[in-house]
Amino acid sequence: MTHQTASPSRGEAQRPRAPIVYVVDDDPSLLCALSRRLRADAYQVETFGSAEEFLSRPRAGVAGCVVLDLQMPGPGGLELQAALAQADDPLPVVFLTGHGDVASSVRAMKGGAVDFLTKPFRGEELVEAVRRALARGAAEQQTRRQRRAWRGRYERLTAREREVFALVVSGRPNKQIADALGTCERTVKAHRAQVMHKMGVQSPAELGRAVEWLGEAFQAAPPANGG
Amino acid sequence: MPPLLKQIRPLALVALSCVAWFNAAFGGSAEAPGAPKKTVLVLYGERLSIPAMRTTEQGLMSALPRELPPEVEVYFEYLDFARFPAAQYGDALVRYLRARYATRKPDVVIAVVSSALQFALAHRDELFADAPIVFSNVDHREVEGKPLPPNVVGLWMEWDYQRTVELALRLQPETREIVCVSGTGALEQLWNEEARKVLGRYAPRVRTRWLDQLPLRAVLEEVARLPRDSVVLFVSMLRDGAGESVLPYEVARQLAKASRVPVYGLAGPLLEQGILGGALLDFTEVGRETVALARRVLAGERPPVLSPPDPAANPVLINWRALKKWRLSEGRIPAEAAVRYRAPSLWQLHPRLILATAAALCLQSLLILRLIVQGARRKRAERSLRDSEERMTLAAEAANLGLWMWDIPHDDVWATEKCRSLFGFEPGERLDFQRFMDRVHPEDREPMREAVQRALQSRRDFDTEYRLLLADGSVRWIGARGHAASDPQDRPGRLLGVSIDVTARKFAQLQLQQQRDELAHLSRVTTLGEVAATLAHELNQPLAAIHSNAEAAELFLQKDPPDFDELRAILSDIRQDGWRAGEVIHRMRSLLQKRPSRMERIEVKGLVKTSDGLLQGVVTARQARLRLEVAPVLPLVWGDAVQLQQVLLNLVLNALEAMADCPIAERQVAVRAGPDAAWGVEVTVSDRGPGFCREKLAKWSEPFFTTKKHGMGMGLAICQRIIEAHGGRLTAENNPERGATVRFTLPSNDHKQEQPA
Repeated sequence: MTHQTASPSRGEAQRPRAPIVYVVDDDPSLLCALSRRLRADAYQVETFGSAEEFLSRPRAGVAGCVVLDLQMPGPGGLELQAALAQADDPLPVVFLTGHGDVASSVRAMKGGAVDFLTKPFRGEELVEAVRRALARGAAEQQTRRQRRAWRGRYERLTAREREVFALVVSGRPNKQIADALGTCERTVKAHRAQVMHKMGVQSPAELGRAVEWLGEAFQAAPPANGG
Repeated sequence: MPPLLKQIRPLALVALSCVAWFNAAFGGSAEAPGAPKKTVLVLYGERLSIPAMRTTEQGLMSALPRELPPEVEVYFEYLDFARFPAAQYGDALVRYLRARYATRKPDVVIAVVSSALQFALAHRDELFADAPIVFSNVDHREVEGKPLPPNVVGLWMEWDYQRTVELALRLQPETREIVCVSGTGALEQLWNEEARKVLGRYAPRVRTRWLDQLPLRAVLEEVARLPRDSVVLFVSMLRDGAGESVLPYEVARQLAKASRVPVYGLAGPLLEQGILGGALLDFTEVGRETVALARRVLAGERPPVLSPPDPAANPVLINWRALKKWRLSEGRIPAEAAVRYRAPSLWQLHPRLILATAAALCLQSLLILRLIVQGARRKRAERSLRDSEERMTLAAEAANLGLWMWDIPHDDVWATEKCRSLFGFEPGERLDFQRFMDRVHPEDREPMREAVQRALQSRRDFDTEYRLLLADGSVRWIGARGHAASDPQDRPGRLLGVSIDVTARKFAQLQLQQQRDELAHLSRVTTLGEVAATLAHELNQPLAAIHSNAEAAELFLQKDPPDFDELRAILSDIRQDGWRAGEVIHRMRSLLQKRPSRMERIEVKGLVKTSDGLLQGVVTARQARLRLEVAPVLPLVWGDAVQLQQVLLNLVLNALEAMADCPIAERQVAVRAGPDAAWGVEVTVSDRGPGFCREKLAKWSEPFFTTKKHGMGMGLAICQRIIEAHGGRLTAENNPERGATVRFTLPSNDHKQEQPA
């Protein structure tokens, strides 16, 4: 299977490098045509004849997207999508399909596919889908990066600080927090300042937004008893 | 004397002397002077019409030539004293005899019956001088007391009463009474006396009753009333009780006729008159012995008078007819008795005739038998032939068969009415081969002629189908089957066979074929329905590629300077994809086309490749893999490419369907094509699905049997029909480990299979 890479220079994985579009299709002719079309719009393109080939070849951790033929002999597009989703930085996927198989498209979209192109499509549609996918990929990568940053800060908090964090974002005053923790109000204040500092926020409101970024990692406070 | 007579006299004298000379010269009856010639004179006392006399004479006459030398002259005189008594005519008779025998002195005188003896003795001196006398038929009692001269000898006559009575008692042991019938003449009285003596000896056991004084009529009446345990002994009767002279011979006949019981007699001649029998005096023998005695006397012997007479010489004779009349047992016949008048068997009478007749009869019977058998056989054969013919005709008519026979040397065609009507010939029309051929459809004439030629050359059977083009322009299909028969010189002699109108069958066949084609087409369309979506995909691939390439080309053109190498590559790719799309359309169209089947040489490899192309989309959609293993060298097969494609497509689709629930990694269909054992090609389609369930395996080829939710159940049935129409076989089986394999064979083209109609 033709392995074509259009990236001019590899070497260091530098951030500002142009994103790469990975095209996976078992039809060499179509593969070639798609690659050609994308290159005409100045995309870096790498082509793969099958899902196995794509998975087995090491890739530079460059941003990009995958254009995937849904129907391929052997492991098909959906399987590859599932495999891709396991990665730290999952590549966004644009699916190509021969016919509007509803079940497959639903599965594909649920699996996070950016787009679903039914053949025959115009080259522009593909380019547009790829552009969207890359944008979304970039956005998602941004989000993931932020989330990772918040998590990193959160993980640096002590257990007591996390307790205080949780009680603060639940909106309780220091006195109550002190009561809940069985300590004095002055100690609570000190912890609170420490948390704000470690998390790099200026206000409790910002602390509340941080909880959103943390998501599941955030350990919520037990519900207030009595009250 | 008249002058004429005077003239004749010397002539007469000459004539007379001539006669004398003639006689002397040829030994005529005229006496030759000086020759010692013996003479015998026989005197019969009675007339010859009396049977006793006649039989005596017969014996005498028969013995004469034997006993006496031929030169002895014998004279006979019949004196008939009963009607001309000697007392009245004696003198005249003497004169007459003296006149006759004056110059012929007899050397021996034979006197038959006592009246003749008495006459001879009485007139011996004046008539015969001392010539010896031999007598016969004389009862010794008649001359008793009268001494006979020395040269008189003879035979005494004697009835044998005793043996006659014993015969009667032997044949009829129940006899209690013997009724003696006799006459009143002198002779009878002598005999009666003797008879009484003999019968007296049986006195206590058997009574004797005499009917010797009654007139004949009374006697006859009397015997008609006799009791059953009696018998009649007829002694004799020359004169009855009324003094009438009667003939014993005649009396015996009447007695035998009238009597209620059997009549026994004593004289031989009576036997033929109906008496039962007796120890009968044989007068013939008496005659013969008399002659023998006369010969001795003539020779100079002096034999004694035979005395006493021996009655035991009388033979016991039985009248067989009478024996039968009285229903007496033959078993009682004594050994010494001779049976006369036994109705001789025809065999005894005419043995040769009977033999000849029997032989002729046998021969005739055999001939008749043979004729009958032959007739029956012929009739049977005719009947069986007729039956067979009738059956044949019936069968032929029932089957609408026309029979025909072509006599090749004479080029004459015989055909049944049915056959003629098939070909549109008139009943009486003369037919030859050409006329038949003229009716054959022009397109079929050559093949038909070839088929006939082949049959004639190979002496094989002839089996063909052809069309007739009838006068009205309609077409009739004829199936003909025939057999070539050789003549004795082993040349084709005739071709005979049957023809049948197969138009309806042929049309049905064509219609069926049409229906089959339609069904196959329907099935193809259905199959394609499944494939259709994926076919769209298949079409989309090149179209999408074309789109992308074209747009890319536009973009590349905008570059400065444009990348012409890239552009060339793009255009080449576009052309390729365009062609590819066309191919897909073409494949689809050939499958969707509705058309009659068309046989051609097919490369199985190409078949598999095309199917692969058609199926790739479906296989992908099903996330399965299709593995192809085609042997590098395969014989060509003869078949319809579209139909075979359909079979392959159908089998692969079935296999894919079967694996719908399998894990993706295991979804694999293998299509293998290789040579089979019989120079053909074997194609197998194997899957790794659950295999056929037992029910499906048993009924897999039945139409409308399906285990699929949406299947018509026609797929395998049609596949099988198609493969069988190609002369192959289609079978299904489960693999040992997992999955199922459907395999079909196609005979090789090299066999030059006949093209299915």
